[in-house]
Amino acid sequence: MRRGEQPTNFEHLSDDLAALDSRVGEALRERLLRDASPMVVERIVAASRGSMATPRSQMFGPRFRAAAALLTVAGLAVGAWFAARTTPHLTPSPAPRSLAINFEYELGVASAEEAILVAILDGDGAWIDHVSFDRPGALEAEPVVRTRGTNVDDLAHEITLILGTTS
Amino acid sequence: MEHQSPEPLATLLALASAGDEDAWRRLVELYLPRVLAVVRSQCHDPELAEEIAQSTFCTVVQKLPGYTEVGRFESWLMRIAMNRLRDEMRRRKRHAMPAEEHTLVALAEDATQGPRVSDEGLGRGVDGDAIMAAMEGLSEADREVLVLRHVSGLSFKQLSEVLDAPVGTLLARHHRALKKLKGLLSDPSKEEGL
Repeated sequence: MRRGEQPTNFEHLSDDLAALDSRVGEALRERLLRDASPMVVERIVAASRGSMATPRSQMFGPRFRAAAALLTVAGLAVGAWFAARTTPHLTPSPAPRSLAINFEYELGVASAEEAILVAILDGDGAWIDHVSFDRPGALEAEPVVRTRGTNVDDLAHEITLILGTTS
Repeated sequence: MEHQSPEPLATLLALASAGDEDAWRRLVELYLPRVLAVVRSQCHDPELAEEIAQSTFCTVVQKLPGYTEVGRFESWLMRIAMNRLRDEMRRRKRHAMPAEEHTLVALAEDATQGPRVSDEGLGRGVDGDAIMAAMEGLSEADREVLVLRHVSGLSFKQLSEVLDAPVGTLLARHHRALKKLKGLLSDPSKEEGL
């Protein structure tokens, strides 16, 4: 380019080149562009079928859905079983009776207060005969405990509610 | 490049990437003519052009689920086609395969299977066949720009992605190709209205 000349702006064509460009485009499109042959299209679709993503309708077919349903039910059943095992019980279980027996055997002779509580919780009134009521507080409770030595299930429930859950 | 289809391109792409064969078939119908025309104009071999087009679409459908560049599908498709074409041309040169005596003119004549617009539609008396013959005198790079520009319908910005060349380079090449073509078409003995 000589001094003083303007640089060529290739983005803007002169009129004659723009006209030629337009004719070149028409000639090329008319001679090279043809509608896709259906046979060639099907050949290409068939060749590319193996590379296509698996359609969701085939992925989630009847067998898959049945298996998923069984797994879901099984999962829910297992979850419910775990939940049942860990849910705390508000009503007294036979454990206090067993605990009372173990308590007696482990400690030999329980304190009067402990004996009173166990006697109230334990429906077996015979246990109270082995307790010593020589302490003042225990002496006052003795008659009440003796009269309430049996049929203490309802009372045990109330005492458990007062004491709160043990588990 | 305009997408000539009642279904939005994004919808077709989403369906095809999910495995919808009908949507995929529709995409092939829409873009196969342009891919074939571009590849055929470079390799001058209709059968090879079909093979390359098939390879191109197989690659596209494989990569479609991961394709996220919305709005650049055409340039992505043409780039894959051009890469496949170059790979095949390099392979043929390496194996010294006999070159077919195909030219752009012969290709254009062979492609006249369907209805053609008469040369009168070109206006100004410039023969379409003369243009095709004159294009044989251009360099491969210059001819490539003209063909891609007009057959693929891509903008120069999109072409720069396909050919991995700056837009300015392609504009200069386009300008140079037209100037040379004008020179090849002009005949001092005739009063041409170019």
